[in-house]
Amino acid sequence: MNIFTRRYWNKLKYYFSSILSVLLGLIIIFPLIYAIFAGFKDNVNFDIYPPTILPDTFQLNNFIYVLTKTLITRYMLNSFIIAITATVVRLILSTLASYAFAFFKFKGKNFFFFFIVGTMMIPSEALLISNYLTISELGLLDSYLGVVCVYFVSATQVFMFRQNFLTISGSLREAAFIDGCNDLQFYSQICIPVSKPVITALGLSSFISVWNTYLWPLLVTNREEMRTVQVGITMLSSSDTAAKGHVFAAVGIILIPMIVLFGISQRNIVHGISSGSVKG
Amino acid sequence: MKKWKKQLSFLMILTMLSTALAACGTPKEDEKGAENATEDQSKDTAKEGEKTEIGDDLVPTEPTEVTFWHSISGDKEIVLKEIVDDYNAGPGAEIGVTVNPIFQGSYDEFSTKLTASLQAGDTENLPDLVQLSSKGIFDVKDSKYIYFVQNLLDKDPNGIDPATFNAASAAYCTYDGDLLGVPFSTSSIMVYYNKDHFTEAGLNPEAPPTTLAELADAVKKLTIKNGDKIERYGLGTRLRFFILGTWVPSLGEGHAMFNCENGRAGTPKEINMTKDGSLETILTEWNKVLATGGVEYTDAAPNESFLSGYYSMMFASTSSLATVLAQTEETGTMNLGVTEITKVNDSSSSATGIGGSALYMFDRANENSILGAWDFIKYLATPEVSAKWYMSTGYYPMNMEAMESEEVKALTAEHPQYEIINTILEHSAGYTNYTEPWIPSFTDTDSLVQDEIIKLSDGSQDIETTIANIETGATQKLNDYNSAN
Repeated sequence: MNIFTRRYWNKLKYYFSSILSVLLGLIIIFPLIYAIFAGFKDNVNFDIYPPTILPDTFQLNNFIYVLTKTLITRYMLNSFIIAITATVVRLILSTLASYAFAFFKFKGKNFFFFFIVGTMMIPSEALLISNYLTISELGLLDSYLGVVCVYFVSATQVFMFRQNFLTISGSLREAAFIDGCNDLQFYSQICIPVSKPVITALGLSSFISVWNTYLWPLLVTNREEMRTVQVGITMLSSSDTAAKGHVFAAVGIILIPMIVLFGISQRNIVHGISSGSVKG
Repeated sequence: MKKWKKQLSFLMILTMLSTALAACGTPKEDEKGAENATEDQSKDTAKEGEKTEIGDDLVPTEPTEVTFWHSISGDKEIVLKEIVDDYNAGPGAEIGVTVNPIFQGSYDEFSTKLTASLQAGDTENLPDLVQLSSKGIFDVKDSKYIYFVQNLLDKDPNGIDPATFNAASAAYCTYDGDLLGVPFSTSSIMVYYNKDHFTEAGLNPEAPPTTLAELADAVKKLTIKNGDKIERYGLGTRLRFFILGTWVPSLGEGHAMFNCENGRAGTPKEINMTKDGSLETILTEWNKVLATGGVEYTDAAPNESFLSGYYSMMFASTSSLATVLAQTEETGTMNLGVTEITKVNDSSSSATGIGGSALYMFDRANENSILGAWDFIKYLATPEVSAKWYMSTGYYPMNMEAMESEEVKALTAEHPQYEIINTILEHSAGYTNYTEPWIPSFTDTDSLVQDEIIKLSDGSQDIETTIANIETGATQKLNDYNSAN
């Protein structure tokens, strides 16, 4: 009797949470769906109140305009270069730093670790001007390096990887060292493979956040061919026009790489989020 | 001990008084009075600093690229690019000048960027020509890198005749008695309304409301409610500085938003509109409109909802005229009506103020780029280019002769809505103190005023509290700036 009710409850819970997840998912994805459909609308359709989700006719004018009349492909390339470079460098630096924090013993280890983690509390807006001055003095304005170098170190990632490496037991490392393994080998052959889910999750979130940054690339670039997608989209939009078909078409176009990336690594992300920061 | 405390408090009161009584100091006067004038470069102000000498032939001696930063996006940017391309292929090519227009984000983002560039003192990466809003120009008006356009107006015999500017627009970009910039993208606030809704509601579409009391009546008739839900708002607009810039001075002589001629005679030290009764009069009248329950008072960008028919009226810039008109004609959703901004009451003037932005020049210690930028400005100030810019945006033409050109007349004949610009100009002639203010923390103060008025609108506070809060907040911001500078 008791077992039956527990099973029954579990089933009910399972169904209930599934339905809730689907509903939440729909609510979250709704703006994206709307935006993609809106890209197909013509100006007349845009102005209807109450607004409609589906366009009357699917017409490609907005997409054609965006692809032919603007530099969107160039912007996408720029954003891609910046996001990929930032993500790769970030992962390399933060995994190496975390390795040190997790396995080495040295004076001031905790101080340095909290010092790095403490930088998470400083809002990036507060650093805008001083970072600009630095980049300007280094003569890196209008270069990929100038845009990307502020993203090279991520305190969040150092923290996450350290927590993750701490789950690898010290005795495992000792055993490996007795077998003639050195630190770099242990890092590359054990720590990295074990952390794959976390690497995927953090890599992806870092890629997306850099891809979506707006103000910093706007500040340090002055040539149109150095601009990123977010800046490009702002250029298309203007407060006095109601017909934002071009903007939505552009949004649809720049969503494609994101969606593809998500599709590829979806399993890893979920796994990474639920296992990354737990010290088990 | 006690005596010492007394003396100290006396001293404090004295210093407080002296700051309160301080007149409008332009930077050069402030400098004389500053006790601890350092050798700081920032003291090297716009008017006093070393300026690049301009030769007499006023033509660049070698091929020059002019960097032009702006915040013009969307359809207007396409027009701007056309104008620049025409210049580069024509008059620019003749003297070896190439203008390179670069979009730098919204007014506020642009301002952040410019402030950073100026702090860096990186003349290499400074622009030669900038389009700045009221916030943007305040932040840099005293910079040693800014170059008064007046210098070139005085020097160039074949330059621009300042009489061809719209006087009010010129006053908008005049600082300390001289023209700091040129009025390339100045605009006014006006009312856009849906004539079909007017007819439907039994109002005369040819006689839109002229005072706030009449507006209240119209809003009441235009609003459609379904139980508690509003299906159509009579009016969608948030009270911004742009609107108050007209309403406050329209109440008569001596009414101003801020002292120091709204920042044109130096940095304002005090907010005026809370003390001279202007805000009280305006909010009392505005409350009548709010009482109808048909005002969407939180919408800072009402264009979209207006165009979709969700609002019957909106307050928006004249610079939206071309786009709104094109949109309504393309979609055929409404007959568009436009009229001057509603007057506060019967006794207030019919003049409309000036806001928006203007073009300013920077001195990068390079005579050629100054001359190149100046040549481009002269091109923008020709009647033909001014007319083109006006017709495709709704911004006032830099050269008012454009209003008499055949193209503009033809456009006005075809689209009678453009006649409103002439009406506004006519009614505003002679009123040059109706300007959007140049104050420190422009955006913050503007938001503060908007937020307080929203609190009044939703009934969470009364007029008295609203005014008191605005006064406290704005005074705090002014004092913070003035004590730090």
